[in-house]
Amino acid sequence: MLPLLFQLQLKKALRSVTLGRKLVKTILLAGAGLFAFFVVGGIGLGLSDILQRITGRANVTPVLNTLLIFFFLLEMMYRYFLQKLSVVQLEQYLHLPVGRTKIIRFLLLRSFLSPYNAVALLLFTPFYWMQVSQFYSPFAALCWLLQILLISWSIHWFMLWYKQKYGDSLLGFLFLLGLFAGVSAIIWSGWVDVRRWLEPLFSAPLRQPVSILASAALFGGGFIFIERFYQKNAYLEALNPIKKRSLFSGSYTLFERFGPAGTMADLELKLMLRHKKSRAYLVISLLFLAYGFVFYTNDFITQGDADSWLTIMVPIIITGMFMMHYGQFFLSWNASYIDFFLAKNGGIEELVKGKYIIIVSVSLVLYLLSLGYIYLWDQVLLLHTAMFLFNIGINIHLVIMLALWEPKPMDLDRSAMFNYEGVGLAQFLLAIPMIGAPYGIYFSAQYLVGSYGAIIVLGLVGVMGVLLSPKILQYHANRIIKKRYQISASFRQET
Amino acid sequence: MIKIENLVKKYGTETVLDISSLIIPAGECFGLVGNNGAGKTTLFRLILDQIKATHGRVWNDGTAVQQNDDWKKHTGAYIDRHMLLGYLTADEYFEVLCKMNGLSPGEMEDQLAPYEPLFNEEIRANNKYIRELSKGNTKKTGIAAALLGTKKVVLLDEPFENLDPTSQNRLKKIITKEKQRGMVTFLISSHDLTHVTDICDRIVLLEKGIIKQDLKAGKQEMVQALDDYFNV
Repeated sequence: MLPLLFQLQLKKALRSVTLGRKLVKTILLAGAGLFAFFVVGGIGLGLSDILQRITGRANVTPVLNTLLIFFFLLEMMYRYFLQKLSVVQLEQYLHLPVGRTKIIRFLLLRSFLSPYNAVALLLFTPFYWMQVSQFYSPFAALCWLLQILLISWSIHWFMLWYKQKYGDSLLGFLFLLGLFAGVSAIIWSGWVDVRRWLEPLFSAPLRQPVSILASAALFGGGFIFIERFYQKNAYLEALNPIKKRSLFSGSYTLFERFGPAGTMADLELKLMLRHKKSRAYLVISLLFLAYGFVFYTNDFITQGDADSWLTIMVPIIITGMFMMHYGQFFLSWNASYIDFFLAKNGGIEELVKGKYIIIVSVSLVLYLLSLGYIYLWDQVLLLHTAMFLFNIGINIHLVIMLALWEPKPMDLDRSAMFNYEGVGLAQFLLAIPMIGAPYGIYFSAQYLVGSYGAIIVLGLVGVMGVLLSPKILQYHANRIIKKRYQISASFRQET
Repeated sequence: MIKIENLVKKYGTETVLDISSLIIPAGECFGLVGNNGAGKTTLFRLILDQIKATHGRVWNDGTAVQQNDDWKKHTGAYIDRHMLLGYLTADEYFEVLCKMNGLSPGEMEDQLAPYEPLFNEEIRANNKYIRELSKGNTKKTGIAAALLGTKKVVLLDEPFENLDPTSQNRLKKIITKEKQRGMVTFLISSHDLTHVTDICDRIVLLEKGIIKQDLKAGKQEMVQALDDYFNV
């Protein structure tokens, strides 16, 4: 039975409609994967050398043992974001005359064949070879490596459970973030030396190889636990529960005062709050507010005034993050509902205006929040105001223009991480005009009127763009209307 | 009134619809039947300007549908769920439509009141998003939405499909009542010959994109003609 199920999986992959169509994207992703493989492998190869140089010792295994806790914490974080749940496919098998246990074992085994499970292997095998096996008995060294793998793989089981249970809740994410930040803070502050504290755990197999049994038990126990968990919950409604949505179900009409376009803006706001992908982008936009802390440091502020070429980059990104993310899929957000808008008199025009209202409003909120950096640097007021105006006057239209090049359908309920639905060439190229346009103006104006003048020029150009926006929005709408048959046909296909 | 002139839709070299002339007068209840692939939905999508005609024109109340949007104000339609907003609850969706059609909440309640039996307390005052509704309930929502506002033309693609027998009869009553008021031109496609002959004044039979029969005579004759065609 298991071979048959794997065979079906293979067929599914080979016959996927997306395989041929998105070949370029697949190759790009494969390239990125290969790159990651070499990077991780390279770090693995260099690890022993780096540690030797830093510490000046020959035997650095004990040093690495104190650092392993970071690796495992990091692993939890990236697995949380990247690891996919395999239950999604349960639906296809649940009605077949195949035992529940078998299906679940298959899904679990399949999930185990993931590149993330090879990371520890890639990273620590060279170290084991070059370091551990030199200083310890071959058997103990092997047990050391095995223990790391077993712990890493136990995290795999753990994350399957954690994501299934808390994957959709903000709390689950915050808890993990808190754990990571908490442990890191404790270690940096030197309050409790967690590293030294945990070191015996990781070095145990070197002293007493039998202790490997403990991690083996952890791994095996993890498997049994997750298998039981899935078995108990392997009903469609348990694994895809109807979510509680008190937060998002309110009837808010924030933009009603803007007329029909405001109605559309309210609709878009609901759309954003009620789908996973758009919610993720909202969170990312908020997280990017912290980008300023990276740049507005003492060094940067003391040596740089408005002369530094970086000064306009930071506010473009902080106030434009949402614009970039939401705008790049401009019409794709409405892929499933496009006929609704096409069937309304002036529906597309109002939709485009509504989207503009939303983008400007969210960017305005981001802008206002970002003004908090005034406490770090007084130039922020001028810089952020000018770049916010430029963003909502010019950049927004550049983004929309590219996004309307060839809009693609996408599923809004899938997570935003490593989800390339709706992404085409236009989305890859988006950053070029968005950064290129302001820099083009900045550098030419700087030459004529100096740095401050250039920033003011950028702001004024932005204001002009805002004033012209009704016209430009009409142009965007006309483009959609002109291509309506093509767009709606491609959107309708994705059902 | 809907007027169709030399309407042709081709995909590549294959012609899926070819209608030289068809006039549907105001207030008529027009039925469209035909086997799978006959071009029923294609015709509806062309009338709604959702797909591009290879040749020819569709006129809705004097405006060519491809040219401007004015006809959309008085035209309602339900083809499939792409015409709904799946992330709203049915109530929210109706509210949005009312805002767009300039109806007050009171008028909306009045207009939706006749649907209460059809909705069977499963659609309104419900916390479910439209995308989570069953097929039948989605269809009911779409049909009610299509009729909301002051409509002169309403297109319904397979309105009876996925509805339980009780709902089918309730829907028939709603359409018949609307028909008696004589304000709305209905275009209804269906595989259910009984229903379609019950409510429609005229039935057009499509086969491979071509009008095979245009039946306007009494109900008995229509039933007979359709029986003859479909009983092979």
